[in-house]
Formats: sequence, structure tokens, C-alpha cells
Amino acid sequence: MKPASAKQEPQMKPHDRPFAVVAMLALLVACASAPPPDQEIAAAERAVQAAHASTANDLASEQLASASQKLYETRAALAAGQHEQARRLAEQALVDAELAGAEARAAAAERRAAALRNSLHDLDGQAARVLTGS
Amino acid sequence: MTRTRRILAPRRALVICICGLLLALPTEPARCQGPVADPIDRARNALEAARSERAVRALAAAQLDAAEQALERALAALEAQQPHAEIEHLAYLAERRATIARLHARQQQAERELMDLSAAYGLILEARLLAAGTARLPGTSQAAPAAQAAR
Repeated sequence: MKPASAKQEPQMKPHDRPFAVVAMLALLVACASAPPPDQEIAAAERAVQAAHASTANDLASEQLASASQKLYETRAALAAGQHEQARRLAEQALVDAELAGAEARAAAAERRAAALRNSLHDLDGQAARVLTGS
Repeated sequence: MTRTRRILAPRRALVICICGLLLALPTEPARCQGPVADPIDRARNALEAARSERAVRALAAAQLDAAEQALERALAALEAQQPHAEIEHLAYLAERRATIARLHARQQQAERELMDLSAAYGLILEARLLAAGTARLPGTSQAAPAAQAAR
């Protein structure tokens, strides 16, 4: 009867070790991925919320919809473990939300200016005379 | 048998190693320069358009800087042969930042116009109030007929 140790797998030879080390490293690299983009997602969420709270819903609805959609896709990518994709989507959601806010602010300011301009014109042309100093 | 195992052990390790390396490779089709030119060009054109407007340079300098830095990051990614998706992403951000700069300038222009119009509106109202007050004073052209009639 052979000893029990004789049935075991042969021990790794010294010349096999580099292969094993490289294999382990490769597996580690494969398993390691980018960390979850928590900060980017938080920033995007804040920006989208701020845009929703502003006049962007009315004045920049298309851009805001794009930002919201990308935020939704960010969460899906995060859930799927696609951290790089999630980071990109979060950054795009952030910039889309900022653009929505900028568009809404510009449109609102232009509307206010147009309304006041009309009011002045209604004051039987005095606005033009005051503005031109005549 | 022992000899066979000795031969197989490094082979098995090699197979694991290759599998690991394959998994470690980026999943995106990177390193191709052609298709990324479009988003970079779009971003560059958007930035040039924004930069060419005097109002943007004057009223949205910080936003313009942000757009320029975003484009530089995209160009650096292109230079470093980063994955296509990353370059496209950075170019997208640069293009959007250029648009934000133009929108910010538009807003600032409208705000300035609003201030000017408000000032004009105030002047007109003041002038009207003065005119109305003068008309009520005795001896003025509008008050005189009423005073004569009273006599």
C-alpha cells in the first residue's frame, strides 16, 4: 500500500512558479476594475435635481430629459458593474444638466427683457427717447 | 504519469495566464484613430464658434476656459491613444461646455439689457410723474384754464 501522500498532486516545481505568478497577476488585473464613480454620480444627481427645480422643465425640457435619461443609464451601468461606462454617463448627465440650466436661464432672461421692452414701447415711444438721450 | 503532469502544470498555468490577459484587455475597440476625428472636430468647431463671439469672450470667460480645458483633455486622450469611447466622451463634454459658454453669454447680455430697460422704465415713470405734478401746479399751462374758470 502506497502512502497517502503519493496520491496527491505533484508539488509545483521551481520552474513552474513564474507561470503561476504571472497567471495570478493576470487574473488579478482581470478582476480589478475602476472603482464605482460615486462622486461623479452624486454630482450628476445634484445637477439634475437643481435643473428640475429650476425653470429648465419648461424652458430646456429636451436637455433636461437627456440629462435624466443619462442618469438613469448611469445607475443601470453601475448595477451591471460597468464602472467606466457609469462614470462617463454620470459626467455626461452632469454637463447636460448644466446645459439645461444655462439654456433655461438664458431663455428666462431673454423673455424678461422682451417683456420689459414691449412695456416700454407701449409707453408711447418715450423709451426710445430716454434711451437715446434725445 | 508524473512526467506528463510536470509538463501539463506549466501549460495549465500558461492557459490561465492567457485567459487572464484576455480578460484584462479593454473590451472596447480602442486604438483606432479614424472615427474619433468627428467628435473631436465637432468639439473643436463648437469651441471656435464660441471663441469667435466677442460677447462670449467678454461675458463667459470662465465657461470658455472650461470648454478649452475639456477639449485639451480630449486631445490628450487622442494623443495617448485612449479607448475610442473615452475620446468620444471627452469630446462630447467639450462640445457641451462650448455651448454652455455661449448660453451663459446670452444670459448675461439679456440681463444687461434688462438692467438698461429697467433704468429707462424708471426714468420714464419719473418723467411722467413730474409732468403730472407740474400740470397740477397753478400757473402752468394745464392748470391756468381751470383757475380762470373758477374766477
